[in-house]
Amino acid sequence: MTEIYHAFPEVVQDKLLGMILALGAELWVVKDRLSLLEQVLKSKGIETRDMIDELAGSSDHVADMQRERDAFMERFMRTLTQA
Amino acid sequence: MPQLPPPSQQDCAYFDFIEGLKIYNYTRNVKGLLENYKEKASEFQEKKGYLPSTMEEAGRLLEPDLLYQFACATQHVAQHMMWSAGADSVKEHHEEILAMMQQPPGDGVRLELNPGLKLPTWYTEHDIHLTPGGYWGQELVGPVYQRVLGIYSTSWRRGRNPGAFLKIAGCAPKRQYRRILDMGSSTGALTMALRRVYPEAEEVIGIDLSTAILKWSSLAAQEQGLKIRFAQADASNTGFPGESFELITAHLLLHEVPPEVGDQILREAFRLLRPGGHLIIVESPRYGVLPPELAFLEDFDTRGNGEAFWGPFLSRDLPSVLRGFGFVEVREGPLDYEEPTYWGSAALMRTGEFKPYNRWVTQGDKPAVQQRDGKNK
Repeated sequence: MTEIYHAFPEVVQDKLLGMILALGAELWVVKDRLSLLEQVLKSKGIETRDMIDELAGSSDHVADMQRERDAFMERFMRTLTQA
Repeated sequence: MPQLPPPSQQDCAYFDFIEGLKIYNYTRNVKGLLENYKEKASEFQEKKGYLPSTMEEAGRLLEPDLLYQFACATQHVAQHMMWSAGADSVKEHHEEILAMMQQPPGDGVRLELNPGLKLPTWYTEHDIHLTPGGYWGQELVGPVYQRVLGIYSTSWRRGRNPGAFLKIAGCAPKRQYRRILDMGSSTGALTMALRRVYPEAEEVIGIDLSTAILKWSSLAAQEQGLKIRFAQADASNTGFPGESFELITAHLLLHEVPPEVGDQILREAFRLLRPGGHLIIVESPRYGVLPPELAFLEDFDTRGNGEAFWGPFLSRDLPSVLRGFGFVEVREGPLDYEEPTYWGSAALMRTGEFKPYNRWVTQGDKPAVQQRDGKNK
């Protein structure tokens, strides 16, 4: 079996870095697409930037997202509490 | 290059990310590592009375540095990401591209495949520089290369500049050659440059082991209107008649073969050259001409970039090897070419930053025939 290259003392550390970098790439793809979507909307006369900033401060959105954030954090950190 | 369907938004964003990752890795991790090394080298000198003089001594100072581990790990991951992104970008157009490749070349381009050629095990058992399937195991290796070579040299949006290849082709001492052979022609970049620089040559031939890459390079030559013959052949045993070429080139070939095969290739080059003919070899600089810390970093490719034969080749004194095979007027040095976006000299330093030793050229001549009066012809 071919030996697995690793730069860190343990292979799993290299693999974790790989996963993090892969996530970074996926995030970049999404950010790029969102930016393009906003440009498309702007070309149709819809100024998303101002609308988004206005909505971001609305009490309904803040309340919704705080619930979403807490649920997200539970799922994200769940592994820390698992054996 | 042959026209591929344009990359999607997702492809472009992936390519940008990977390029940015490589640039970050070099400009922060590798450069930071070399800054740290200066201090460690001074401490070494205080203790020992001399600066680290071997790769081993330099390596013992570099390896414990967390930046070294990060730089190597990041480069390794970036290389895998690059090949995956390249393959993903052509996957959707597989059938369309294959149909393009099945068209026989025309317009003065000849493609001679040899289905009976047995591929050596050293070639098929390694995914060279982490390319899935190497050069031979995936049908679309040509278009994948076309996509990723720009990312590799961190200039994918600018496109690959043929300037360096024209410069390499122009390294040969004469202005005219009758028959030219490019060993391990791969994507055909140097082969095409040779045809451009020597338009009057009777024949310019590129040889490679890979069916898929030869099909792609022949399409590239046809698109450029360049009269080239591509043949599937083993550079260590081409089958061409002896003394039938005046100029032979080997660009980034020898570090991808075992040392004993490299020796066979050099013997074959000597056999194929006419007396007075020229051999040009282009590679990364050999370890012997680099400061030990840069040689150590360059050696990363052997372990971390799927280049099993890299270290064994670059450890050799190539000029001495050439002299041993009978070549004369052997000389070596950096490629005299400056371009801000040129690729670096080693995996960890592959970025858009120019360095004078980015590409190392070793040349040798086959002795000219001696006349009866003892003078060379």
